[in-house]
Amino acid sequence: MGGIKNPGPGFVPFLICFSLVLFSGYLFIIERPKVDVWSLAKLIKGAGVAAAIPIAGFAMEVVGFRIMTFFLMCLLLRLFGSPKWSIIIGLSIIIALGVDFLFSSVGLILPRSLWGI
Amino acid sequence: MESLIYGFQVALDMQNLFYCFVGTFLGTVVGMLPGLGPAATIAILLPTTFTLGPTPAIIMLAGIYYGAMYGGSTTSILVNLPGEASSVVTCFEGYQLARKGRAGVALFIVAIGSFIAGTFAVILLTFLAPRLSSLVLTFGPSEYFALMFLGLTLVLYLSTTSHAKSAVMASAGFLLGMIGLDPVSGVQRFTYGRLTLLEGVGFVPVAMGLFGISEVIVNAIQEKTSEIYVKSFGQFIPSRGDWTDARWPIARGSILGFFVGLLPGGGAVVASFLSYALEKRISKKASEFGCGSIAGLAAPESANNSAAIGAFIPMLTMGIPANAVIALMLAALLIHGITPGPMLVTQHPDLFWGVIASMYIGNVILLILNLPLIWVFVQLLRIPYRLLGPLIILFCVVGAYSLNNNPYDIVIMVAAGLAGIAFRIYGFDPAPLILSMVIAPMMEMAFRQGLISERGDMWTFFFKPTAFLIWIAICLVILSPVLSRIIYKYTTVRDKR
Repeated sequence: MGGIKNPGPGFVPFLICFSLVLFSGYLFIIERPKVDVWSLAKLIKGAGVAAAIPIAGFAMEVVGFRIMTFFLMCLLLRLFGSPKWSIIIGLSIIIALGVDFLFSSVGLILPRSLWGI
Repeated sequence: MESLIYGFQVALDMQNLFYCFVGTFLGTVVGMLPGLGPAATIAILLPTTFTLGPTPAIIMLAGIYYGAMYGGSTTSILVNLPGEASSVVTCFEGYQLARKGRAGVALFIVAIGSFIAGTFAVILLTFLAPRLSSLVLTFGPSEYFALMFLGLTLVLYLSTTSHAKSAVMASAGFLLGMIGLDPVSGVQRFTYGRLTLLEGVGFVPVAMGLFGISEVIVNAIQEKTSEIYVKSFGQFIPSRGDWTDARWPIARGSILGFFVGLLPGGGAVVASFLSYALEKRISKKASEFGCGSIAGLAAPESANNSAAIGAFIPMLTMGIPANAVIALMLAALLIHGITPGPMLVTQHPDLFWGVIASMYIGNVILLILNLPLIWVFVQLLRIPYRLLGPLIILFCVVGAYSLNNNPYDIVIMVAAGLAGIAFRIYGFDPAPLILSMVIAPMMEMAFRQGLISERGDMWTFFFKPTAFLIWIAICLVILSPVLSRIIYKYTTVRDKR
């Protein structure tokens, strides 16, 4: 921790934590915001989108960018309200190939699957 | 002048010119599309700049920022939905003009006003930035610490949310910025033994999550749609009376915007609101405000463009970001191995002058894009969000992953996104968090270096002449609510007598 004239590595974090507790306490006691709560269906939709992203990130290293993008786009387009599966699948293929080409052309190397796709 | 000519030589290089065009074009598109601001776009595109040199990278990112100021007004005028936060005020007057069949005139006035303000700001930047750099070279750790503290104080006081909420966000940002190795002793802090946290929490994934992912998830949940109300623009060229109404507001907005943009926490949003309030107060046609006032439209749009350019000065000359978007550009420079500050103009003159010269060129490009090609951009508003949202998420995933080829950065991004949603629900502004996260390591380093060099003498650390003046300014900012109340009571009592 050190002292005020010779602060150690924990000194500044301690001060910041103190200020965080102080202002949070003020907000908790004095300012109590009113919150609009979303319906369960909407929360599930949001949670689905949020959960899909890190899963896709880890899956990308196994199945490759193109396959990951195809499945991610299918899921997200469905969650965002696209009507027909034929449109969703078609768009997902176009997006997977198009975005892969776009990033390759700017020099970003993205993972490929074991089968080279 | 020779330096500026050198800057134009750099900016007119084919590669730099191309990326200036790409940046301004993307900025216009991003500014127009509600739900995707320049902060999220810059965060998403940051990894794509790794293969570029620092000069074209910053030219492109800068183009996105000031381009978004132009684009945001289009959606405000045609759809009554601000494409960008600083274009909220444009809805008040621009949409009313559009309803009267004068959308073309509104778009033309906004484009010309933005061009004049942007050019004016770049000229001021050209002359002020080198002089400020020379002054800042005399600063030591005490002065730097005081300056960054002043910047943070202004961010808290100029925030649109309560001071307590902004202080909580700033504190949280500071803590996030301290994760990793202590800069002086090398001790691990808040790493919990994890190797991935040794270098700290990535700033880019946090920014992408806070500004990009949270926005997309909220829009997906709320199923927001927008429709273009105005089907035709009417005539484009304003009348002589319109120009008479617009010229002085454009001038005032340009000046006010530039100096507000200089202030950390000021930025384009504050500049546009202040400018609108000023025009409403001094206008002889105050009754027209809210019903399609040309002055009420021209002034804030000029102010936000001028502020966007003015915000570059603290970053280029002192290495202090004035707002979240500039903080992202500072991060871009650091990633490219360049430390912005007073030495930038001497160590990297091609970058410094090239970026400034590119702003002149970028303003001309934006004028061309926003007038003759406006109908092309309007078609972008017809892209359904159910296609745009997934694409934004995909770009965020690629952007976060490509930083370190590490999927844990995506986890950090999503965690920041979920935090961003909570911040929106409870009314917390994420900008102080982002700013604090960037300047936390610099502030702590300046504080501890200063104390080491002064052998722990706090008096000398805080009371060096320049640092002392800055601390007085900080006290005035903190006490400004109390002082203004005292002055108001005094003037009220005096008027009654």
